[in-house]
Amino acid sequence: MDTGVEIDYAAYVRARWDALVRSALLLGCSRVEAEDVVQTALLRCFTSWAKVQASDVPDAYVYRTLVNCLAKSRRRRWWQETPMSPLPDGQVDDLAESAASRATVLAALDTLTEQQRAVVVLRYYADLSERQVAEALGIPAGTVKSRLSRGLDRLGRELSDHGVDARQDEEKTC
Amino acid sequence: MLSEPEARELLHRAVSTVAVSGPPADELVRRGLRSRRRTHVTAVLGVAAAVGLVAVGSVVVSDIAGPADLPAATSTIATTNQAPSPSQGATTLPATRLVGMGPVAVTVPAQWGTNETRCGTPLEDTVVFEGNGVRSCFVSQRDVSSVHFGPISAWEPRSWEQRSTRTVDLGALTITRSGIGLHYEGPREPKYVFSVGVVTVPSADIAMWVMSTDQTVVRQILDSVQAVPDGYVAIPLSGLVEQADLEVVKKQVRRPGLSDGVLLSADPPLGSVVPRGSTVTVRVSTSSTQANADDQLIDYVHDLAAGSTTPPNNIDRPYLPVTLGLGDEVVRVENLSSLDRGASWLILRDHFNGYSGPFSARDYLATDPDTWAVTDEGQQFCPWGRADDLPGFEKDRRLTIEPSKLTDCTQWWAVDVYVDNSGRVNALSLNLVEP
Repeated sequence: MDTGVEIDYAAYVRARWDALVRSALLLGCSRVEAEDVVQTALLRCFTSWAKVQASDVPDAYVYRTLVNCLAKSRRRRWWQETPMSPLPDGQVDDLAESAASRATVLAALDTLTEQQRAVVVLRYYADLSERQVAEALGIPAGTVKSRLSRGLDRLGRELSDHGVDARQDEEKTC
Repeated sequence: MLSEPEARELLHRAVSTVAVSGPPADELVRRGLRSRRRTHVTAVLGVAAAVGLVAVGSVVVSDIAGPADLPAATSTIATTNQAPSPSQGATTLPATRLVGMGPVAVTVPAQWGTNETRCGTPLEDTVVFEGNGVRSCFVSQRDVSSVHFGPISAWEPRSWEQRSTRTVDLGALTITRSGIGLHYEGPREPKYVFSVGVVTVPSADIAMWVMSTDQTVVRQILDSVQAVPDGYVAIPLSGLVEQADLEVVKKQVRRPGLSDGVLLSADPPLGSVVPRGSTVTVRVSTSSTQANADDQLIDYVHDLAAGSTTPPNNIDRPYLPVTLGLGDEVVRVENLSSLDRGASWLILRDHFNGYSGPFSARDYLATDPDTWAVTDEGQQFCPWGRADDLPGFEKDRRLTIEPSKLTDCTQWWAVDVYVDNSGRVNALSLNLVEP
């Protein structure tokens, strides 16, 4: 790999790191796990960076790798998580309100199936188009649409059960 | 049902305040490059392990095969075939080497360093000999592989060893070998999870443990464990090196902050398996007595350049000659007593290493000694190598005086002071750099 590609790769990591880690959080990881799995995914992309660059939407390629790494890490978790003292999850700089709001949203996401959750996060947080989500997850575009519809429906019901409304929340912060 | 904009807004807001550590872009590039190398190394170790097993076999039958089957007497044992036969195709396998302590050895990639540590923490893939003058400090772990040798007390037994350790006979040598466990470190979250395995040689009070985030590396190094072949010896730590059947050449090196007599390096490196009787050059930190003598000498050189007429009488003989040099080139000889005059230091030359003459080491030696770094080997501040020894003074000790801090390599200078065993200054040579 030549230096130019390494520079391009490093620039991508710097630009997308936060969004990828936060996507992993929304996909159900703890913060520590999120950073680990994103690192693993990005490392995997490093070895095939030429393919990433050549793809129409590099983000879709990287997110696909991320989702695969996450699925793999969950399959392996039984041996990877050797007992240790509890790991603090660094949230000290969060405002209590936003932390509570996040907990509610994450709890609502937990009620979705893994497939629905991936579609919702990639579409509405990673801002991939439906076609790109389909490409990233290796599923037909029609399946993306149906999973999005069911996912949003479920998410809306869960949030309203917890008294959370996106517009009300928005008004509060304003 | 949530609308799409609502869903987008909720998700973004939910995680927007989550603290995320900075993007480890450089670290990922480094690990990515390393990972590609490691894939290669793993393949090599597979071969090494196989060769290791053959080597164990050769120990068992060494009474029959005899030492003639072992490598030439001047080399350390390299265990990988570097010149594959045509049937192996065009791929050239990087070399591996045997490293060991006492009677036991393992195979590691040849490019692995030795004691590449800071504060006891491996910085690169390395072989580590424990308890070798480590200073009390802390450096966070890195994603590197390492093989550690030390007394059994240096190994902290893990609970998983009890159910996984078994006894193995390597010919006449009995060892224990554990399975592979996982190891975390860090007060908060584990950055790396290391696979660890340990071998002990109870009869020699030796423990050898392997750590890597790549379990395959650990397994294959453990699989390569073998007895040091007859007629060979693993270069041991300082203090023991004289007791081994080796010819030892000792070089003292000034290393401020290190305790006396710490073994800094050996050539061939520590742990290398070499034929008995081989010559080993070891670099050892200077004793405090030597350091004091050096300090006196440096003060003397400074005083000399500053025009002092009262140098310490234990090293001054006014009539004795001092050779002046530029780099590795002898220019002329002056009497020591004449160096109290600035003109005696001048070397007339139109051009030397990018600088125009005349040149005078006195200009540099008259500066404040507190701003100098004085070492036996040069600090290698800048990318160029050290000049060769001044001809005729190769047997003298060569102390190099340089600025201790530099903001620009073009500002670098050095004066080499050649001193004999009696502490007498035989030559002074000025080094400047091509800008």
